[in-house]
Amino acid sequence: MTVRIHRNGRVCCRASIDLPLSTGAVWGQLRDFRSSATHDPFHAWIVIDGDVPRAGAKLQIVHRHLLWQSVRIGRILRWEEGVGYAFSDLCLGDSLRAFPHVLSYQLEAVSPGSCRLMIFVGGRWTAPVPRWLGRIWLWWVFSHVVRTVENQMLRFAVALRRRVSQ
Amino acid sequence: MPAVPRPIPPKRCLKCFYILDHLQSRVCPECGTAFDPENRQTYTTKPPFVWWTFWMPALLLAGGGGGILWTVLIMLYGFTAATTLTVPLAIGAIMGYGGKVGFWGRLLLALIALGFAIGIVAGMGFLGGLCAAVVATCAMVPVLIGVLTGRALRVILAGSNFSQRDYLRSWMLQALIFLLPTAAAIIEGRHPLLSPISVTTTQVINAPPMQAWHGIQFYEQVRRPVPWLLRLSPSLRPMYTIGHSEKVGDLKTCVYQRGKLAKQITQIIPGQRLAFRVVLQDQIENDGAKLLDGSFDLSPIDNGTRTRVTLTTRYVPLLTPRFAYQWAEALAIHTLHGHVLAGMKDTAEGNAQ
Repeated sequence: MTVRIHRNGRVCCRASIDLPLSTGAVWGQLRDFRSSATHDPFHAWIVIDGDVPRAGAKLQIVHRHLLWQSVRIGRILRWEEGVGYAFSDLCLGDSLRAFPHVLSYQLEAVSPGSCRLMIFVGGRWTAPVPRWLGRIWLWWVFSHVVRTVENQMLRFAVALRRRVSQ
Repeated sequence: MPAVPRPIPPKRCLKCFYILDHLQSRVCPECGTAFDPENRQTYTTKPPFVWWTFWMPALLLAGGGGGILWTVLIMLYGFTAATTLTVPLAIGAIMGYGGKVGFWGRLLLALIALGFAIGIVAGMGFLGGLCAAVVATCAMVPVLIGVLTGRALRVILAGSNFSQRDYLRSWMLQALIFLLPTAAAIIEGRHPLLSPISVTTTQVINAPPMQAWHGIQFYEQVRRPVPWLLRLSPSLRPMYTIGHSEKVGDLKTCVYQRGKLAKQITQIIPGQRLAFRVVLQDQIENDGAKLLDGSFDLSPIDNGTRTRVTLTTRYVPLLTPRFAYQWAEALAIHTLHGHVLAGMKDTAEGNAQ
């Protein structure tokens, strides 16, 4: 997992997870957009325009910060069945303020029974805090997302195997 | 701000749990199982059941919360009180969290589980019948509180993003709960700070003091049916006695169904007082009380035609919480005293006639 904030404010977070599941099985869980897009600890829930996740669909992303909530907006930028998706997460009033970013999930087959899930967050760091502090913050949030996805998939893999063995 | 949506679980393949929402095809892309979005029999809305994920919140509540509470209570009130209050709470929390039945059913299940757990502890010899009844009675309130707490946790999680929320109405593995009380019973401890208690019972005998004196007898010598309350404890069923109690220093040992009790005479004033101390208490309610001594005090009334007999027993209580046990101990000892005094009255008044 890498988390970088460049001098010009560009944010680049990458992680890849090797999973003991086929690409189809992982996508079968990941395509529950409302659930998988709220792995970010600040994403409370998501409203999809038209209710069907697809490329171009507008999003309202409700963020929860302890005692208060805020709404951000975005779009599903990419939706490829069996491969992955990406969506943007922007400030409601000004899309260049308050850490505008894109989150992307991309699947890659490693073998018939295993795959690699690549998670990417790219954006612009706009908060007036030192970069090292921003990096720590992003590390914490991004690692939470990565661990949540990984735990969900591993839990699914174990449950699926137990079911098959029964 | 968009309205808080009710969590709508996605449709999943019955075989591989692939999420089937918004698919063009009516066949699962992963395993090929056919489904019909209009027919609930052809898909499921539940993710695969992962028992440790499902149970973790309840176990954290019962084990973690209960453990913290137990530690605090043990420092305040001692081991027995802490265990008596916390274990039912933990059982109630787990039962309140799980179970296919409704609230009252869960409460009933929790009480049955509690009864079963107390039965195991009593069967292992850590509790007598009366103590078990006391524990069961005073544990009902913590069980109820535990069930309510577990129920609250369940309601909170059912409305959250908890991955197993759809199983919060499903069948539970309730055998786990028996580990807690068994472990608690195995490490049964003692509260060291309780001071001796003296219990006194008085009876008037229609006979002069000297005749009443000759009627003095110990519990094991009484030729009357043993009251039902004392039959609850196998350690209070006498079998035979050996030794004497005629002069100071005499030793009288009674052998009970389980264990024995030896009393040494410490004071004799004929017609007035007989005092003894307990020199051996072997498996006779050792977990509940440490017996110290006792006495028979006789005083004449009605110009010496009748006698007031006062029977006293002193012991160090070992069971807490005291509010639960003190009345039960007093009831048991008064019953025992009444049995002894009734036997004494029979003998003395028989002699008088």
